[in-house]
This record gives sequence, structure tokens and C-alpha cells, in this order.
Amino acid sequence: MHPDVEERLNNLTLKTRRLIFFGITIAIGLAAGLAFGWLLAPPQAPDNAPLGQLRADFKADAVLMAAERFAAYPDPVAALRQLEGLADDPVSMMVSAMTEAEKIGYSAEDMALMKAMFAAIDENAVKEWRGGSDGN
Amino acid sequence: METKPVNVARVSNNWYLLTGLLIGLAVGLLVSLLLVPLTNAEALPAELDPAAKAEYRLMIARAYVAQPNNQRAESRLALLRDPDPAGALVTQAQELLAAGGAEEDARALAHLSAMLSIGALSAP
Repeated sequence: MHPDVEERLNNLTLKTRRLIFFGITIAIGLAAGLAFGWLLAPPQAPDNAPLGQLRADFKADAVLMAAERFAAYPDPVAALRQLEGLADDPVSMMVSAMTEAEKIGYSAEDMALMKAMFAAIDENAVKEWRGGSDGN
Repeated sequence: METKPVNVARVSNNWYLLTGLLIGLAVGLLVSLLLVPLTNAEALPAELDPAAKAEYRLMIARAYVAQPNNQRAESRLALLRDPDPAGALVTQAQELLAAGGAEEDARALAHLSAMLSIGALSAP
């Protein structure tokens, strides 16, 4: 082979090799950057979050607010309507909220309010809240 | 013709590797911190959207009307970090009435706003 051609072939191979290694180092840098941002850096605060995304302790307070209102105006369906924005299943959410409230150390008085509201929410109240979707 | 010693040539030829690493790192950080950042799954009341904040404000007002507790109402409202809490309550009451909402709810919001304005909520 002519020496010039051979030299050109060698240069091309070197160039390709460098491109490959360059691509690999970009990929390594990209992986490192993504890992830092997604695994190590603290998560950012949400913005414009829906009510259902409220932190558990604030959901507990929302249930307490509903219970305070319930104590004065005992309407289980109204209570469910007030809480429906917090979860698709307000009844289960109430249970979680009361557990959270106990963990936080809510007063006995507040716990009693929440439990009284929960106890008053029966199957009929849930059916009425759902609009009688079961057909009855 | 003088040529560079082999080691120096190799080092000076490998700077492109560091450049690649830095470019990748910069793009990775841009994506993970600015374009698609990880956000907290749980929100504080101040981080809610306007509609959710309005619902939360209404809950506070209803609870206050049912069981007036100044300290509790004030601390709950403070969580929303409204620049003008009394104003936000009145505005919400007006918007509720204009939209044909429950008068009782509008009254609760207005009542809480009035108590806040006269400083009743700051009283022990």
C-alpha cells in the first residue's frame, strides 16, 4: 500500500477512536450529572400542588377541621364532601389521618372529635355521598 | 525535526476526554436540576395551587365558625403564607357569592376575615 494511503487510514482510525472515547466520556459525565441531581440533591418543593398532595400531618389537621365543623353541624355527608378533595377515598384517609394525629400527639379532645365524626359516617352516608352509584 | 516526547504528546492529546466528561456532567446537571428536577411528593399548604388553597382556607373558616379558637385559626391561616390573609378571605367570599356558592360559606370566610382585621386572632 502507498505510504500516504496507509498514513491516512491510520489517522482515520485514530479519529474514530477518539470520537468513540469522547462519546463514552460524555455518557459517563451525563450519568454522573443525572445521578447527582436525582439521587443526591434534595428534592425541590412542589409548586401548585393539588389538595390530595398535602403532607400527612396537614391532612390530619384538615380532618380535624372537618371534625370541628361536624361537632357543631353533624352532617356526615357534608363531612365527606369537605374531605373528598383530600383523597379519592375519604373514609380510608380519615383512618390514616387519625393514626397520624395520634402519632403527632393530638389532644384527647381533638382525637375524640375526629373519632366521633368517623363513627357517625356509616354506609348510608357513604352511599349518599357517592350519589347512590350502586343503583340502590 | 524535533518531536514531542511520547508521554507529553499522550497527555496533551487526552484533554478531549476531560472535555467530554465536563460536557456530559453539565448536560446531566441541567436536566436533573432545572429541566426535570425531582420534586417532593408531599406539599405544604403554602405550596398548594390556588384552588386547593381556597378549599383549605374555607376549611379553616368553617372550623372557626363551628369552634372559635383564635390561636388555632391564626396558625392555620399562617401556613398558607398569603401576603394579605384578611384580603384573601374577603376576595374568596366575594368570588364564592359571584359564582353562586353557598352563602353560609361566604359568611364564614367574611367572619374570619373580620376577626383577623380587628386583631381578634392575635389576642391570647
